[in-house]
Amino acid sequence: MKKFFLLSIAVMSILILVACGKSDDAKKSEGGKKEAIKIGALYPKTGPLALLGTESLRGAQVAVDEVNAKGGIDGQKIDLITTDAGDPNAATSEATRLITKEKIDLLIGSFSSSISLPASEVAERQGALFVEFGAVADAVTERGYQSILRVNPRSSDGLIIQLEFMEKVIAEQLKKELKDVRIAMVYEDSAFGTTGAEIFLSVAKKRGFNIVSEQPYSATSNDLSSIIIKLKESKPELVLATSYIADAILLTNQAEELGYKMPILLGGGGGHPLKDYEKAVGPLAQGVFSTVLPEYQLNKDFTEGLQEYIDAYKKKFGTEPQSGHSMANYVGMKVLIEAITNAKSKEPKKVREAAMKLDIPKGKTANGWGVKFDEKTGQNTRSDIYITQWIDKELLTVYPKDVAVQEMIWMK
Amino acid sequence: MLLLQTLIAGLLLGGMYALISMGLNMILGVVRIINFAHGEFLMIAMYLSYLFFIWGNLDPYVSAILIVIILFFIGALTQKLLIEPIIDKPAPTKIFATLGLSIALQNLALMVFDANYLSVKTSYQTSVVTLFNLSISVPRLLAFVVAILVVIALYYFLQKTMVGRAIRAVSMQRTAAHLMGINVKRIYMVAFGIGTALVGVAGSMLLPIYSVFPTVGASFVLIAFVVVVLGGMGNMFGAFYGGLIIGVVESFAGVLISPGVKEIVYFIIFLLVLLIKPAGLFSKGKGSEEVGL
Repeated sequence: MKKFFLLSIAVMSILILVACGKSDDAKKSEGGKKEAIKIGALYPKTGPLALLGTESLRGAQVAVDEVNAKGGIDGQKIDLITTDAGDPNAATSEATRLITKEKIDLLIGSFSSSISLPASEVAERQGALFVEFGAVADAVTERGYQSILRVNPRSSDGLIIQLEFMEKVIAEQLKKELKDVRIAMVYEDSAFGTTGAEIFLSVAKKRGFNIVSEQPYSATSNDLSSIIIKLKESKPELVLATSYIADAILLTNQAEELGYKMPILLGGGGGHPLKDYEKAVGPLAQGVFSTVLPEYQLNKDFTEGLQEYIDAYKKKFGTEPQSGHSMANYVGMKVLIEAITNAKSKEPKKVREAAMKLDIPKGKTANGWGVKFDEKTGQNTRSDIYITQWIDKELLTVYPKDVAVQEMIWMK
Repeated sequence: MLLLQTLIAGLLLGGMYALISMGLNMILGVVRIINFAHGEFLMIAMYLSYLFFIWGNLDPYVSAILIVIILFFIGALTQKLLIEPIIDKPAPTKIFATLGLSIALQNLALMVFDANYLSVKTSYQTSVVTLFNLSISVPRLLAFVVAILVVIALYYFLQKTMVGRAIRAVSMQRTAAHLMGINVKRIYMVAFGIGTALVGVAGSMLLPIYSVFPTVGASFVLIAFVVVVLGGMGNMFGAFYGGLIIGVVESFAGVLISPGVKEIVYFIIFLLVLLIKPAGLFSKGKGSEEVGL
């Protein structure tokens, strides 16, 4: 009994001392180091989105390091408070916690529209600012909110480039009009795949495309042989696939297993442009096209700061960047930092105002994007999706011409 | 021709499902516990196979022998350390225990290996055997053959060996077996160990075909439960046939209807079986469907 009493007194005193110590630090903020600017980062670090969620966050971290090395914004260092927003519920609770408890009004994220949508809802209600660097669903900037800014392009923007590519490049290669090309659609059936498919199908209807087969499937399927069997039957000349990585690998491997020679394959982002895809399917990746957020093999004349970014990433993380997502976040973070610098304030309204005044032409950022936000929606109107192709184990940008490093190749 | 190819694809797929489910069948039928971490044991087996390949240059089919042994011990330890202490506790405790284990293992894998999709490259991976215009993938064929061998081996083990018969006795009537002098606790350990070792075989067979990543178990474990209940708990052959049935149904549903509804079709069949013959299609009859929760 006596021991217990002494022990609890000891524990309580330690706790009290620690608490005092912390509040002393807080009081020291006048005359000494300037207070850091806290920015909350909401990314999926665990769960099925973890791979690219972590990759996205890394880009933002490289940008923060770069600015802090030069002394921060006006002498104030940036403190990136990272949280794990692995699913919509976590996104909502983390956003609420950061804004109400940690008193952070500037948030960044998120790679996934399923996280961006709830997090920006919270920001709108609480008067904070959420800047999105990677999620593509159009809905994110279509709610008329003042709380959201998005640097990266939307799905519909990607569609425009994709159609251009299909018309000017693929149809030409096949020596046909685009509406005579036999097109097959294969897509995973969650929001990612179905939104893209729906949008494409409505365009296809209007322009009279020849869709010979349309096959949605579950991304967690263990077997996609039925898809290959049906493709064999419908004989498309162009396959549009929207897949995550495991299913992209499975589709390619099972096509080989079932003796089906895949025609021109255009992947809609997701798994096809990832390094892990090429590592898994090896020579079968040759010739596969993807629509992507800008990747690394870009025309150096159009991408100021590209090599510096790649070097900084390698130095900090010890590997090559996994995908273009980190670079999109790097560029986006630098845009936010510039807005805060120009606003001379971290208040959401002032930062948004300063962001609206930014006018950077294309070709002046590490991935070739420009910056000009739409006043009403908060969407950056100068960011683009590019088309890449796997050529000899490298993911090379082949379209649009400004950013291409090489001509595309065509498989026999 | 199209249908024949679909049938073959379905059977090969079913062979893999059977391989994964037989381990679960053993655990569910003998220890009578729902092992939510079954998928994670599969993941561990795949990661181990991957490591043996990267570090020791061992072909997955060769390292399978090592993996079976390692997983046996992992299973036995799980039984001894996690399940045994709570065997008489209420149902939610046991559910939380294996569910917690599942989450812990997934995140442990995430910490150790990162979220990357890892795969091995072997020379025969995409080899195909072609018969009369039908394509049969070699790794899948091997997995199917191994599944058959496993069923046969299990049959002999359970029928002809002392330990095997003790396992069957415990699964039929735990108390009577105890009274007969069988060390039930040890049999539980052996059964759990064997169940986990079986999923180790599955993991080795799967790695040449699928990539491994922390949540790979989740995509297979649900199907394993369906197969086990469909085939009848306590019946090894039931799990084998159940796996084949699910594989074929999934394959045909994908081709004849749409890939998007594959899972719906076999889940509907699953529900029907539960309503009409809840002990499973090949079960030993009423009573064996009661899992000791």
